[in-house]
Amino acid sequence: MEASIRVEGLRVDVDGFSLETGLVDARGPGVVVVSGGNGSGKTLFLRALLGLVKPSRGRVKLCGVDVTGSPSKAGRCASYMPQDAYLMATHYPLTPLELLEYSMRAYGLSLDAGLAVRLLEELGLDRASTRRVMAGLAPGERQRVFLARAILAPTPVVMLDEPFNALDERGVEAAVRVLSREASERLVVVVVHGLELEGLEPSHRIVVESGRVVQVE
Amino acid sequence: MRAVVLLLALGAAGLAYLAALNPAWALEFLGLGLLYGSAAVYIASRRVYYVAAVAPHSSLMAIGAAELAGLATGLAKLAATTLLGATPVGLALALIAWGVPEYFVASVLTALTASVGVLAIAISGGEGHVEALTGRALEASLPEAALVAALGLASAALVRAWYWVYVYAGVDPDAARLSTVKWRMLAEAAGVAVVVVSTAGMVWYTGFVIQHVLLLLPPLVAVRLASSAREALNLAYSSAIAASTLGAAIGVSLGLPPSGAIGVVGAIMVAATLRPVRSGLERLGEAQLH
Repeated sequence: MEASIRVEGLRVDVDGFSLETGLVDARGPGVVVVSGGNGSGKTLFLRALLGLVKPSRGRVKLCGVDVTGSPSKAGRCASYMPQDAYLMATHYPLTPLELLEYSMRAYGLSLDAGLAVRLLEELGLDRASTRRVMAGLAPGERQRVFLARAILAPTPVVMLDEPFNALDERGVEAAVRVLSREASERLVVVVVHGLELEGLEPSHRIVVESGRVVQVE
Repeated sequence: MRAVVLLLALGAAGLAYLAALNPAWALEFLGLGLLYGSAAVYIASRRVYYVAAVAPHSSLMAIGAAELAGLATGLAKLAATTLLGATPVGLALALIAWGVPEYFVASVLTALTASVGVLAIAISGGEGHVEALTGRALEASLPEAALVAALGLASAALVRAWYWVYVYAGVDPDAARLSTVKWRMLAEAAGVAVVVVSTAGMVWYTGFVIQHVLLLLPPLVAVRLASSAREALNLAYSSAIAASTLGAAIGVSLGLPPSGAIGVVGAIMVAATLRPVRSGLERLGEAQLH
């Protein structure tokens, strides 16, 4: 499946806020950096790409398939890490390895536990914590688990909404290292506040300002 | 693991006592433990606590409406309450999917169904108030008890099979929507069906009081003590069975309604988890401080 994103004249209206795009076209492998200030519409843009919100007009194609407003179709092409991942998985007893196992099941696959533990360790989570209940982990540790979930998903595109939230300096370095490696084979979309991201060279840049999405590179 | 063994031992003791008195009771309360354990697991893992508020009150409304309509025979009563009780639950799910906040839906529908239920029971002048409060579990025949046990086993099989779907969707509903597994909606429908059957379908036998107890307390025990989702599942079932059978045994032996005794046993079980150890909730508190 080709790692690509194509958006044509999208408009999304949610709670009085409107988001509009022109043509956005990105092909992988590589890194797409989506940047913009608070409340500019970055998260809404990502959710629209994934079909999690329905646009009032326009079209989204992921991996060459029209996925407009259809998350189950979008899920075949792209994995997703939400903005507030580090706050999740605290209401019910669940270990990081169980979360990753269930995530793989959602793709009809089984988890390679050894691979998962290695990735979590690479992201800075110690081996013992992979089997602890997630409510007992620090927010930055939970963030690492959700980052691992998006990376382990068998999709050509990986969409990450502010993946460095709650991470310490070492965590950011580890995440950038892993994402750089992934970007050599997949299209990694990273939503951030600033345009520059040390160690992660973008192949495409998208700027979101006051609900306007513009591809600048 | 020790907690699961202890709870199962308590459940076995209650079951043995009931079986010695009346095998139908043993079958029935084991089935109810499994049935409510399944519904409770779905509600807690899927994180749809508003269903636990709406469903028992919907069953109260259903019993009142059935009384008002003069549906006296067993099968007609059962079908009527199941359908009537399912309607507000379905409405709640639809409203939430449409974007209405959960707390709003739960508050309005709980208040409405409870009020309509009480009015309908009063106007009908029947015995709905007895059934609504305490149920008639001790009057069940052996075939009826066997049916309850079969429903309990079927519910447990369904919920165990799709447990991971509920946990995953409870953690991250958006990720669940991105899932490529086609039968996800079927799993959701099965979870809701288990809740409806255990509440509206069972209200004649159990009363709606017991429903509040067994839909909410077993997951509390599980969340307090479990260190993984798998352990939480085993704890929820074992505590539901223990509360159901032991509570019924105590109720029968003291000449009290089983529903009340089951509630007290369930509450004691939850209280027993409030010991000075690092429970799930305390771990959550610590996590917020990290």
